[in-house]
Amino acid sequence: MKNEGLCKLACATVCRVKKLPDCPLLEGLGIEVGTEFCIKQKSPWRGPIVVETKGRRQLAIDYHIASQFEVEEVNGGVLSRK
Amino acid sequence: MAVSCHENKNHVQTEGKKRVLLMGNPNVGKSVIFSTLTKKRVITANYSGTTVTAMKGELVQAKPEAVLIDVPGIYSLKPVSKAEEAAMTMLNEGADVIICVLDATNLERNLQLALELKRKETPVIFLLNMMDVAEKKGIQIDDKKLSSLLQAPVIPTVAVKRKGFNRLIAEINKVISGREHGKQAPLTDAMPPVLIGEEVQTYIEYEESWTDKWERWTIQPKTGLPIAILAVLLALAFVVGAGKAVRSVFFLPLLNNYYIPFMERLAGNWTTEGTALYSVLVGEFGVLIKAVEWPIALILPYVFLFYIVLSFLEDSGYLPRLGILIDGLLRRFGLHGHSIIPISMGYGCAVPAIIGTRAASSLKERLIISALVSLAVPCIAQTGAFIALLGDHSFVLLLAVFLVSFFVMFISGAVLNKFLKGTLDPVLIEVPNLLVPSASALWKKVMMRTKHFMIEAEIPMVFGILFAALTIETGALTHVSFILEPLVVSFLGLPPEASVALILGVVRRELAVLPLLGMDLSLAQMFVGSVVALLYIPCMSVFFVLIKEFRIKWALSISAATIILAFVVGGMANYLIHFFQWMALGGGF
Repeated sequence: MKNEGLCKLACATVCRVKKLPDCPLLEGLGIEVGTEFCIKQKSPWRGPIVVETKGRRQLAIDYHIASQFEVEEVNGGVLSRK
Repeated sequence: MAVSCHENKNHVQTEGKKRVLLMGNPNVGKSVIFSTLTKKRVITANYSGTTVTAMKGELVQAKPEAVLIDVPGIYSLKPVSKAEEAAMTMLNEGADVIICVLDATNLERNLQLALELKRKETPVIFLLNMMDVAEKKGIQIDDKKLSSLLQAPVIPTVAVKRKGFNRLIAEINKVISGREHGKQAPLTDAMPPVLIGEEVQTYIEYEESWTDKWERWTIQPKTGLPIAILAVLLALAFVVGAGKAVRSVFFLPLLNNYYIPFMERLAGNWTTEGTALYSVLVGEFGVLIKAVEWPIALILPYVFLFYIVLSFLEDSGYLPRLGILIDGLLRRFGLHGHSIIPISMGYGCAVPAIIGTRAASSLKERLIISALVSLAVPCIAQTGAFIALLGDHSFVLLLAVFLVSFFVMFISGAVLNKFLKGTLDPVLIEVPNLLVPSASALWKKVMMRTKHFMIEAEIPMVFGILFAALTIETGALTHVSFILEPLVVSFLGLPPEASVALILGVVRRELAVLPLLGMDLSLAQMFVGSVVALLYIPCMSVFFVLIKEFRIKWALSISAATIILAFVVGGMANYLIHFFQWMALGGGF
């Protein structure tokens, strides 16, 4: 099974969370197992990864935390809009 | 004191008035709502951390009389940082009604706190704020359904445009007068936030608007970085350019043609030219002249213009986005992307910047930001003084002083990052929406900040000028400054009078620069003097804030470090300049 986190995914990839990193704050942001989001931006110098979730909310996730995500790519859905 | 019919210990009254708590997540527009609902004004900003201490104000149109308390923005009632602890304390002191502000563009997240509050016994009124932004994003919310799911009134509002306030006031009055508890009912088994969100929201397809485009451009690296650099340069050009224009067109003619001759004549009526009293009043450092010229003609235009820029950047939501973009870079220097907010505030005044670091959850981060702001970030008054001293001679030198500031900031940040214990928090935040700030809110904020700065900061300056006038014009200074003289003259290469600047710099940062104005310095001396002043000791107000926020040990260490660094870097600049001059003259060859 591949586990590259979010950092190696290309922008505009839509994915679903399979396993969360050990970080209680993620839940407060509304990211749980099963949440779908779209990778929007990757900040330079190993900066945060910006993802967009279903409520059209954008979240910035620290590079280190983002690298520990386990996700699977999905196609379609509300998130795949341009 | 009026006796309430159902007194219990959760039902505390404030001086006999009803207690209304204003709560919600950070950055949902609570502060705008607070300033609209009360006569007392509060600074509002489009990022978390403006409201760290609670503000109280009389609730307008409340019957019976009520006090509105602005509780720090929090995500949940679990104590994670100082903000939640403060919010919990306020909640435990009791309330008659809670107004809970929800961000309509971000409902699921906001519902977490909403549900936690609803489980308390106090009645809650929900505000669904930023409805206009949600609509623009194609999000439709069924507020009636939400109201029935939450078992409480839900009022759609657009706080910046004052929409929805009449209904809010009516609902508050209903609850506090005890007439009707509205649709309030205990919430026993609520759905989880995600399900409620799905139930009440519908997304419709929408065209990418200009705001969306800007949101994309400001956060993606290849456009975001050029925009950031452009924004900084534009801000600098606006403050420096417009400031100089206002000064030369308005303030200086007024001062030179009317004010100074008038004061000289006035002083001439009391005493004759050449006496010590005449010099103290209207001489080179005459208190009647400088106490007006420096704070008003020199500093005020820059303060005003800077706060226009800062308030615009804050209210538009641009700063947090920039913070996310350059977080990776800042981390190498011990800073968090979010630190860009207190640091930008520091270019205005270090006092609110240091207080603003309370939003940071680790002590390490707070200390690094506070140390950097005290050390290398010039306040706007000092920047005004730099512009006056250097800007008229060489814009390059002015820019060089700012480059020294950045350079010292990055090096010190990296060093502190290495030696201070603790870790930096990871970035894990909601990216705020970009919005066009409301002109009236912006204007109020600029006026309030400018007024605050001029009153709080410039009054000590007048005393500093009085001290300077007395010591310089009477010659008393020569007896005081002999300790500093060897350092100032031989090491820094400045004239002996420059030591007055260093003594006054303890009072106000710009006073470490302004006395240099009348000293006929060479460009090299101006540069050295500016660098020393830039890094030199934080002003008295900052010193006291450092003691208050941290401990005296940290306040003293930061101050000592700034003095040492100021002289070391200033001395180095002096020797380097002399070395290059000597080389340029062909020395040694």
